[in-house]
Amino acid sequence: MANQANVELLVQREMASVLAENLAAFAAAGQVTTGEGGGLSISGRSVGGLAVTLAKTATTMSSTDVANFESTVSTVHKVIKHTVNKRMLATEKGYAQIGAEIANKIIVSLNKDYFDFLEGLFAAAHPRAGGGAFQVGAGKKFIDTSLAFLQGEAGAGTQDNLLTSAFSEAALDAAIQLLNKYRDDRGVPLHLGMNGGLTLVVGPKNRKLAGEVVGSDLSGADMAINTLKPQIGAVVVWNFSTDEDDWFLIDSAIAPVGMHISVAPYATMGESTDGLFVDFVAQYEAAPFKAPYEQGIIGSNVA
Amino acid sequence: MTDTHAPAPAPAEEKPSGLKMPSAAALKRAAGRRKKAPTNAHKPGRVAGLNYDKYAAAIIDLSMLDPDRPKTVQRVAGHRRRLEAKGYLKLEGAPIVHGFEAAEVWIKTREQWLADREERIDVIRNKIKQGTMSDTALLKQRISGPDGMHYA
Repeated sequence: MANQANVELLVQREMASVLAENLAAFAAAGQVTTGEGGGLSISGRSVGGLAVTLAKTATTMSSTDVANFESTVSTVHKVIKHTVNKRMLATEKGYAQIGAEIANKIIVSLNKDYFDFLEGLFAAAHPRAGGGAFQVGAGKKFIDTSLAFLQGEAGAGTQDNLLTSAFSEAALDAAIQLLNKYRDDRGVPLHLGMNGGLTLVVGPKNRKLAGEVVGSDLSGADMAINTLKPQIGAVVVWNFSTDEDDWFLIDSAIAPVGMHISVAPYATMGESTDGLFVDFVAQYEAAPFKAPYEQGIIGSNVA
Repeated sequence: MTDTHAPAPAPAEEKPSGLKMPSAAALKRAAGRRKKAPTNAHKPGRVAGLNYDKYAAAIIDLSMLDPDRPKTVQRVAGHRRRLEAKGYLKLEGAPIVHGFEAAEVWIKTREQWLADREERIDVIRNKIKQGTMSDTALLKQRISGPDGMHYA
């Protein structure tokens, strides 16, 4: 006869699923637009310049050229699907959690669409690459050095939105300076980033240093007031896929990059037509986009 | 070595002030430097005097390096190891980097840097194939502008 006292007591315990966090990261690091599916057109113009004085005796005035660029992106339908035997659902408690997890993972996918796109900007052709007027120079990337303004016209010059520096306090300050000095295509200084609200995007490797540089009341080197603190509205940590040294500074109010969402992520569960299986489907329709004009983003890539 | 503060003979009408005035030659030499200060045209993060057509630079910020704080020493050592591993060589000669109070500069040829940048596209393409990166990483958009239409 079995000794009842020795019978093993089995306790069935279900571990809570480990769900991904940081789900709204993309929203802090770029613009989010919503609307109809299909596509999104983003216009940008080269307008203005410095005003000229009109003499009292003048009877004519010549006008200057303007240009409009339009960038169109098509949304992509992304889906995750699992098919599970109905008997498994009935007998194995853990399968009941699939719905919650797939909903979580589809948002991770949306995030990754955006940040993978962001990483690609160092190698992505600039929408206005070319040697003509209103363009930034032949072969230029969206984040690059020596991007032209007023190309081929009086007052022509170049500017950088690419740094090649390991993340540090001085490097972040240099990035803010680049934003402050940034000009539009007509050579007009835009003084971006003067009002704070900047988003810093770093990899996990730089998370600690970014927190120290941005969060400290005093700056590291000379223990003076930390002027970077009020400038940075958010630090977003993203697990970059190709180079953990990369980092970005984005003026989130006028970011030239973002995510267009025509169908927000959602998850459904439905029985297959033969009644044998259950389909778990999560989906969304969206696309990351870049504007024709790059003002508002600085990236650092130590290639 | 020229003594830049050798007292210049005071003009007859000028009363001796007791100030030790620089010589006329020193003033002339100083005037020769008057346009060497960084202007607004200097780009933060750029190395002064480096020929960017030939070289690409990577910068390490040394302003937070404190030999008495091991964490800062280790951080800089880590940056150096990364740059070595990415094929950079340290540039000697106390280079100045605009926007940095103290910096170390590492360089590689521009040609190599451009090749490495292009290689990143291949890396992304492979990761997309493997399913570890989203295909939106290389998403192209249709661009309409004064020069017509193209994709970028």
